[in-house]
Amino acid sequence: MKFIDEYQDTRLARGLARRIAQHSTKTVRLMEFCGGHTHAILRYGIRQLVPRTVELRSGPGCPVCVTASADLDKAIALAHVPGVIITTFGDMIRVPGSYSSLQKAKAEGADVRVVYSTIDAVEIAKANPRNSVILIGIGFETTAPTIAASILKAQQDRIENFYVLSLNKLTPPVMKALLDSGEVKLDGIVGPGHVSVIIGSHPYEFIPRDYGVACVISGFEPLDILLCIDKLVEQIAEGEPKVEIAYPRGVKPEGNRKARQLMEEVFEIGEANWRGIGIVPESGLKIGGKYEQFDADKAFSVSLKPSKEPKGCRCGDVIRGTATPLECRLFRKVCTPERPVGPCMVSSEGACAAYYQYGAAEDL
Amino acid sequence: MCPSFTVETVKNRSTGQESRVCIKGEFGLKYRAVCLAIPVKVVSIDGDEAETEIGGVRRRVSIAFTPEAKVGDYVLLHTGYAITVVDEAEAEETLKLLEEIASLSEVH
Amino acid sequence: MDDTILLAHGSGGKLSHELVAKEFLPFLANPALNKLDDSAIFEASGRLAFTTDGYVVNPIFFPGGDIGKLAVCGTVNDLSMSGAMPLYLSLSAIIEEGFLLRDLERIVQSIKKAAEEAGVSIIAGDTKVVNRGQADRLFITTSGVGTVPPRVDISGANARAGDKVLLSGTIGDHGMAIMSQREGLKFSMTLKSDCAPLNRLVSQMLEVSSRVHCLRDPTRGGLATTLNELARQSNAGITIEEARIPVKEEVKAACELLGLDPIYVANEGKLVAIVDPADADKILARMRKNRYGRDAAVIGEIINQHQGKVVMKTRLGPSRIVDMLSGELLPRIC
Repeated sequence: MKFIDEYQDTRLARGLARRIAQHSTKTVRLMEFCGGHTHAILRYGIRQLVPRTVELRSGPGCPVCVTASADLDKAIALAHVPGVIITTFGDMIRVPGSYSSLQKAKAEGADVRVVYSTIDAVEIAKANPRNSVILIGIGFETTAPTIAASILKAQQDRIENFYVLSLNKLTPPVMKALLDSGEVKLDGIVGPGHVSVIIGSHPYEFIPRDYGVACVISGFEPLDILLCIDKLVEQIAEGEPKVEIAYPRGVKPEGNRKARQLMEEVFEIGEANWRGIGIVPESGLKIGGKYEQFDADKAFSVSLKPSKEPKGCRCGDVIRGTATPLECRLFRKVCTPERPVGPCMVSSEGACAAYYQYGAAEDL
Repeated sequence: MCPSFTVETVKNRSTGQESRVCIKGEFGLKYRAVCLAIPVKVVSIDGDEAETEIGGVRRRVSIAFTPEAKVGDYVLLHTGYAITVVDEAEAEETLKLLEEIASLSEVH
Repeated sequence: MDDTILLAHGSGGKLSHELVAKEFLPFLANPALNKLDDSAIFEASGRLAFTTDGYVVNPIFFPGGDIGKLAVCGTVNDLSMSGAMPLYLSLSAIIEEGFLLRDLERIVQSIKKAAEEAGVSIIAGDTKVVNRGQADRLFITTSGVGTVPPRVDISGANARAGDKVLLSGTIGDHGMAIMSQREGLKFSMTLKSDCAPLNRLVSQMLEVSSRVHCLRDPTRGGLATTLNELARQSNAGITIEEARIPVKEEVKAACELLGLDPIYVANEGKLVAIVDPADADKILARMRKNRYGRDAAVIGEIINQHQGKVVMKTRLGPSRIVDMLSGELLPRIC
């Protein structure tokens, strides 16, 4: 498969690994902000390919994982409203909320459907005119344009029974929040490749400028990630942090203007509630006034019991990068993909699920 | 055998009665919705949609965000939308760089 | 108007008899079945193998097969995995009211063809009809009986350190062929399910070697789950190499599109064999001569470490643990 296979070449990977080892003299701590990277790093065994001086930490890059309990509880409550069809992306279904889950709601009779694309959700609305179809809008800047497009399509086709519960979040603000908190001392950031396809590289300039942290945007094949790590190690060694694109076949500095236009047309920026982090200002997308007829928050009101986190769950720490899944006492012993305690084990982008699935042979 | 259900306590919404039932492990598709974007080749264009192909598999995608895509281009596909046209010149450059790195580090 | 199944077809009365006489008997005819007694009588000696399976695949017609073919091959293969020669199957069908008769005929034809290829007879059967909405079109259960030749001892518990792990062909074909038919995914490909009866392949393998220790078909949960089962049963460590596992290009592409790993995707015409290393080469050669073993490969071996676990050496070099599939990757895959 073109543009995939070439970036999995063993010989080239070894070359990069050797170069990183040659240039890495002091310990550096890097963090990725994309669940896809967390998954790829574990699947391809990147940690075993790079020297021990390169430390990789997972950050808040899994949109399912960073969805606050209160928001998930709201989605579950909406599922029980008579006549509502909930449409959601795959993993959301199994995440345990404070008292239930979308899967459990489904078993209790709610109509909850998994969709692959936002377009499917609009089509379900078209096919079920007497139901209210609510799309649970999670994701970062890669997905936000597709949700905006679905609202525009619904408007264009005069669909009046389509709603979005907008839980979309933005990446640069949460990076800033984490750097501000100073909880994890970072030397470099592995920039999210597909978020950057949309937003470009400019939004990350505050990272080297205000925090002295290097930022290199990475693709998702093993060679992409290794190249990114190589550039980060080099930047850090030279003491000249900047924003670099190590995924130029996908990311342009200016990003995708058309996609951003659609986002700006439909959404307004507001605060968002991130699991494990709390409220982060200007980090969430709310549906703008012009399109408020599609806003599930305005169209429906549900009463909720106070939200709570599962006992002993360290997802918050894992999301913030202050703990790895291995440091959570519930990991593997109590919390497993079949019986997940928190979202990090449920979502295939979650750090815990990735560690569980691809645990290095060294961990044996 | 991998169990495909869990047993949980479920409350009947109208009677309030609780019972233990088997909940099918309908985990939906284990696909990675959020960051996953795959390079696919544009085979034909039809308005703001395109027929694309990868490894013999065909899929229709929206090119609403990439109106400049042409037949023969590769685009990155994310949940049914093409989010950018793959820059093939840059791809070549990256591979060349990786080749150089590999040869240089082999010499040492 | 298309003829459909009515509730009365399952009531045991006139319509039921008509259904059996018109839709099943003509195709599956054999002396035992034709007698239409309450049970079939047959003679067999020595050790017998017995198995049963339910089939709820959705959709019931898919590229490369249908629920009927699946039901026959699945049970034939389960018997073969014990080294048994499959002889007789029973067939129980639960049909939803309104099911099209012509679809039923198509499926019975499929069953007949699969049974003929495998060399088995359906000697007992039953049909029930339930109200519309109480079964999704058609569910089939098949049970099967076969004879195990003397001195054949094949079991998941028999793997020994040093054994080689053989795989009969490409993985993920069935699961992805099914996926391509699922609503909402909208991808199309030419890939067909690999659904096939493997009893002849197995008997050929057993002809060239008496040192086949384990056989298993990687159905639900895929290759990864099956290897884990074997590792646990034998309390042995299994190590495999990702680069040696054969996967079709289309399957790779479809898995990329959906973010799936082929080692967890169901197969319906493949087997894993764990064999004595001295015989591995000749068993492999014999497998490759069979149409269902053309792409057979050695993918790994049994070792004296990490007992009960499966470790895979990835393409780039690092090893990782391969666990069982948790939950259901693709619901109603078989």
